[in-house]
Amino acid sequence: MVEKILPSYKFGYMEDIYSALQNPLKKPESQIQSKHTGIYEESLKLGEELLDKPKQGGGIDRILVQHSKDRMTVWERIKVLTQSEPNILYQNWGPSLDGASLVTGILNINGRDIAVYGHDFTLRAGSMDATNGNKLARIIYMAAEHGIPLIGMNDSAGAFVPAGVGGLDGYSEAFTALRKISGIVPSIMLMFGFNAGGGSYLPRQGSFMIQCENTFFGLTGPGVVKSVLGEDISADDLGGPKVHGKSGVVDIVTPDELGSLKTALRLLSYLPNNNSELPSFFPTSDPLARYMYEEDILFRKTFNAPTGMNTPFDITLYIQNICDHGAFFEVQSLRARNLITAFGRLGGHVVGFIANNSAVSSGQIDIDAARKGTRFVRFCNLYNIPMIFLEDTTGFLPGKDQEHGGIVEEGRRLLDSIIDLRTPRMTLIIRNAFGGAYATWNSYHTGADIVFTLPTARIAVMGPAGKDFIYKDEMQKINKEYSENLKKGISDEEAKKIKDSSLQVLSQRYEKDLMNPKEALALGSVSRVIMPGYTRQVLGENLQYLIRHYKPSPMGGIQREFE
Amino acid sequence: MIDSKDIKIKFHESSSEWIRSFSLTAIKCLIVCRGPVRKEAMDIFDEIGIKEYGILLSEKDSVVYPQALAPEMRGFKFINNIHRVPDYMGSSKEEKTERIHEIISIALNNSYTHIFAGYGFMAEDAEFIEAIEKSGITFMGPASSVAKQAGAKDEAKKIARKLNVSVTPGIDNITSLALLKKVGDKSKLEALAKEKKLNYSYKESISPEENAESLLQLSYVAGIDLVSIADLQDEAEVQSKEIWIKFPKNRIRFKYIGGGGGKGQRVIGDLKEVKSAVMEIIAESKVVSEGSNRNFLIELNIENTRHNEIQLIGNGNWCISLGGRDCSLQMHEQKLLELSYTVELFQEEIVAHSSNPTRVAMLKDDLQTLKEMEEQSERFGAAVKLDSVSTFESIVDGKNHFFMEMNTRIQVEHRVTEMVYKLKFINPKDSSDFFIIESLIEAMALLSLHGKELPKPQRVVRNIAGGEARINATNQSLQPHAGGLIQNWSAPVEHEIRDDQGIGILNPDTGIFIHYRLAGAYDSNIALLVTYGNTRKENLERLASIIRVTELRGNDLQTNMPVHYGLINWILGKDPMFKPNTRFMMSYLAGVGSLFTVIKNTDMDMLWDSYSKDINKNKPSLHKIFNRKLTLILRPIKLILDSPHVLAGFLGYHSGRSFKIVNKKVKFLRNPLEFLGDLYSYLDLDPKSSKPACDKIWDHDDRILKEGLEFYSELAEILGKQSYEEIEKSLMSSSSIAPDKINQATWEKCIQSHSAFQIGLDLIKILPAIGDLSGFLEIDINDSLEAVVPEKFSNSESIKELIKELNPPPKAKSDEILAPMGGMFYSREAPNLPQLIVEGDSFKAGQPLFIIEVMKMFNKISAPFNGKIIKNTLKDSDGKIVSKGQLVFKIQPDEFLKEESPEEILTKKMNTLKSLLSY
Repeated sequence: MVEKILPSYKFGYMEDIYSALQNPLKKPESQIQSKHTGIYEESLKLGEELLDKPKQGGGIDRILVQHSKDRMTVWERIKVLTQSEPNILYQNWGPSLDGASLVTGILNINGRDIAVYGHDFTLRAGSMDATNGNKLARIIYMAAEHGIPLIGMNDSAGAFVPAGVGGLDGYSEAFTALRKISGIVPSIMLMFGFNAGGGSYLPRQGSFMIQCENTFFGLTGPGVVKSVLGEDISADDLGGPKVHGKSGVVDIVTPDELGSLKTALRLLSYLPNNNSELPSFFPTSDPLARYMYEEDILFRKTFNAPTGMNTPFDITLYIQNICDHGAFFEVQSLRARNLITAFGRLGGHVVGFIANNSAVSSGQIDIDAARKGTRFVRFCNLYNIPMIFLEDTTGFLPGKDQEHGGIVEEGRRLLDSIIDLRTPRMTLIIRNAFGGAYATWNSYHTGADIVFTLPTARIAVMGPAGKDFIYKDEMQKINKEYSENLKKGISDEEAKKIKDSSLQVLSQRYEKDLMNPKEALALGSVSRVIMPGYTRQVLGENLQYLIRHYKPSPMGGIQREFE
Repeated sequence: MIDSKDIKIKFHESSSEWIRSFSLTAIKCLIVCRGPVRKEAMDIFDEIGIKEYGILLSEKDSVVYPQALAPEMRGFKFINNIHRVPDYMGSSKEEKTERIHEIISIALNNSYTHIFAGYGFMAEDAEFIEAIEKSGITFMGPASSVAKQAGAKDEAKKIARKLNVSVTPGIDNITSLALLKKVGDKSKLEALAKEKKLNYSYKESISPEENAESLLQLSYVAGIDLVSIADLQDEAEVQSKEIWIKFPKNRIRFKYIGGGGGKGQRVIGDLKEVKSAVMEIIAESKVVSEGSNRNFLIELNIENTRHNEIQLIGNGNWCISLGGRDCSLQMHEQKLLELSYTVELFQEEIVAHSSNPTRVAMLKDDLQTLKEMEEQSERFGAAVKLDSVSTFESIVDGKNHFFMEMNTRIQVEHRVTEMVYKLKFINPKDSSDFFIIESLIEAMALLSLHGKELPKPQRVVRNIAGGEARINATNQSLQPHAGGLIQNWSAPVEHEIRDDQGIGILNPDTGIFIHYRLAGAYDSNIALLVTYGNTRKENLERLASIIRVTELRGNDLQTNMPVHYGLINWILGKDPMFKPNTRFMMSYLAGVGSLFTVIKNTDMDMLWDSYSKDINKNKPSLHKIFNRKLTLILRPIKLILDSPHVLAGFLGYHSGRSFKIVNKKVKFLRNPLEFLGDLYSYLDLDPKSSKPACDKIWDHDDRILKEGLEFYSELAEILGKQSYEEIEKSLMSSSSIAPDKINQATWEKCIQSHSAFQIGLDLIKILPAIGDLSGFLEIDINDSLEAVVPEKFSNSESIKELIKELNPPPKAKSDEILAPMGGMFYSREAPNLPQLIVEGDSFKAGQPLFIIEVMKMFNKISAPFNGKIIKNTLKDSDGKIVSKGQLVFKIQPDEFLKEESPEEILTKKMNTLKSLLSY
């Protein structure tokens, strides 16, 4: 009788349980005893061992160490991404036939094919040796070839020192592969464990990095830093998630491994498979024509407050009310919150929102904000994601720190990224839009498809301080009157009062004449006014129109995600 | 409703004409409250077939806090019926009047027929209800006459006394008594009235006190004082002396008639305290001004207070009670866990304990008390012509019960009553024609439209026991913790009823959980967890089991789920029919705080190393195996030590069951391996396949655990012995000769396996050791089912200190406040407003201190911690430019960070280790 050969995934642990940790009373498992143990049966046995080997990792002792640090093994992490059986490639790569401490494969996540790689820290600390750099490169190229996103689960101690130069070459191969797919398929890099050296560069070549607490990555660890530089610093303070979240090296910070994996899945739902497709569309039950009462209430409260038109407010409240069912996903939320970058859905279409946030530093654009914005704009550009620019900024931040830090260059980068933007893009001017910031921030002449304004907008070369320039003559007259008053014998206090009230009149005239969108509308720099309450409808309908006439395609010419 | 064929249908769909007459399709109802009852009402209204409903939406629930958009809006059916208001009620008297007007306008302009106010805010406000009634809209709740009569505490007590309803000894008319004492008799009263030009005449038909009251009422309208605060103080002393003659040991409570939520109350223990107490409650209740009604209650303070309440329902003619609820488990006057009390529950318990005469006697007493309360409450409800639902609140002390007040609204814990009773309305003309109501909100709707036509219902038992846990956004010391973000909440499981305001509604388009921030704009209540059972034990076990498997994940998220989990398990470990008093939670919390003081100096890694050294020395052959069990043993221990509340429940449940402390030594009463397995289950680490590996027992550990448990159970079967103690004795006996049925070789293997499985399990003793060292295990229950609390958990000073341990306040890093950014400094929000803070002022964390203006954007800078301004370096500096990092204030923080040196920390840990190892 021919029995079906069951793929027996014998957990290697069984042999590994020391004989004393077994139940001696158990009846031995009945094996499918073959009468023959011929060549065929021998090869079957070999097959089973080979299939089993990679799952065993570095053996029970090393798995125990991994677990004792509250870290999951690479196989357990894969199970979180998808419950369906992973399609693992090159399973027995490497001279030890164990996969060379790198697991690569294709996963089915909610019906989508996703390429994945993960270091097996239990095997030689997930290090890169002479051969597995090539293995990694292969899955990377495959992802690009088939146009599927890549998820990387990084948990590697770096180069395998005994492998010598071969290990470094392995990194070069992998670096190159990641660069070559950059801009073709999006990648999400998860940081687990302690990664140093090459293990830090490589993931940053991906589109997004997600780091959780109790993990570290950096050029080298605290030990080497201490011995080389004498700097005494903890791993968390040197390369923990708060550090990298603030600098923008890491895009999203989560509390634990499970959080990172779940966040990756959530982020994935906003991303397209590759640079020839639009992100997935979800028909929405949130009516596009929904009147936004909250928009009206928010602005009424804000601008009628004692500080009037100078009152800050949290722009995410606005984004929340525009998006379908209030759901949006912020990227780089720990960094430069004077500029908010987030994915959301409007009428079912994924949109990249980029918004000045007056609640932080008056919404000014500084070096950090410019970098954050540039990255996001370039990403949306590459992956056919339409963008909505919400404008409310008093301008780029001047001053010594900014100039010394190169604000001109960073601002230029942001400007160029916006000029390059080829996906449908609209601007809504909410309040402040002055000077260079106005010209940069997706104005018509930088290539915006449509520019809208709320009636509360103030579009001008300069803010209220500009009255000194516009009304030069009138200012002179007032100053002259002041000195004359003093000469006449009027007290200093009285004269000041008169001067102040005249200045006040002038300020009011400035507000009336220039602190509004009239000039911009007249010139055609703004298409039309949107009344508060109708933003979602107007933006949504225009978005639908623009997407109807936009063909997603790879960017022409040599472009990369960020330069 | 459920018809006679047990099918759930709407009234207008019934085949019975009588039932159809109760159709609710004419109702268009405006829901003006928020909280879990809002979503519950929406769902019930959908079920019962009313025409339409609408809600109010405040700014705080939509456009003030990010990611805090009211979840009820997701998929809301009537998108035009979301009415935006600045807030649900007003913060001042003027605002309240304005809001009432606004709400009624909304209702009239949108043709609402009814208004539902749930609980909280204005649900019991007579002014609100009257305004609604005047406008022609129906208030879905008790009429304003009920609110006025039963809602005011002194009125309610007067009615109760007249009806012979048991009330707390004391007086409710001190103002009248004071007036009488001051002036004297009829002629003097009339003279006074003439003098003050009040239109008054003495009525012989009523008592002198009531006459004095009438005169006082006139004086309030006229705005003049007839009795001074001093007069009240004097009279209060007289009355207090009286009470102390009969009850010398009790304290006395003064309670302003309009107070609530703990305000306007003082408890005194000595005559000396009377005068200041009177002054304080009058001041706190803001009735100092001339012509105010300063009446307050003087009543005996019941020390061993249990808080029981009866659910009432009526239509203005009949009034029936729907059993009771025990709400004694509360903290800061906020209820935590509410459990049902019904005659059926007591009867069932009496049967179950028939072999225990003391127990039965006690249960019979409790049954009697409940019956009395139900009977008295029904008479009270009928007397005030209750025409909706209300709660009759009492305090219970032993066999004595005293009526406190009536809450003329539906309450948060009404779900508990829904679990135990349903209402059967029978057609008076045809007994086979009836319908059953399971929801009190449905009953309210029915009463509001068809009240007079409803016959008196029968109450039908639904379950023997019901219970509710309030899930709040609070930290480990039960103080509100706002700002947490909920990122996932697993779906409700079997037997779980969860009122969560809609937080669990997934994104209708993508099916993903929508993140929700607990902004803390209102109160800390997030959701209600309700379940039921055939016994109180089953009820509590279900509640514990629901919480056990619930996944509530988030960022900076602190809820009282662990507190409930620990508390319920603790109660299950002692006795499900536990009768706590209202002070129990404080003591319990102090006990948990004490656990934490030991836990924070417990270093498990050090402990492991010390064990490891020991084993290496004394049992080297087992050392490798010991190391192999590193995660098996350490992981659940570390996890439970991370959460002192969860540990409290585990210890409470297993003390006396799986371990006991004898002469300061921990003794296992069961196989320690099974105990370890229970710990894994308790922490919800069972190896379910759908869970991520980090949320369940590691597979290699599960193998050992399963293998070991199988071994012991098979061994027990073969040896025919059940107790682990006996099995262990055989295995450890020096003879090591195999018993019958096992061959010698296998037996030797068994002995080896036993050593291997047991090695290292002694480490689990650390948990009971911590329980004993901290004194937590001393908290117990006596035969009367009351709590037994050691001194250090009942004296208020040490309670305060221990509870503080669970949530240390944020400490200051330095004594300076610097400018976080460069810009123009302002000390006030606008030129005409006062300065935000000046030298000498104290401030709290989060309070705005000054403004920095950058390019015309005004940024409010808040205090990072509590403290006091010592020096303001920017006096008269409005409009001046400051640079980033510039010193603004020199301050004195409330708490200085006392840094412990590494040596001190190590010493503490070593000492704790030594003490724990001695067990």
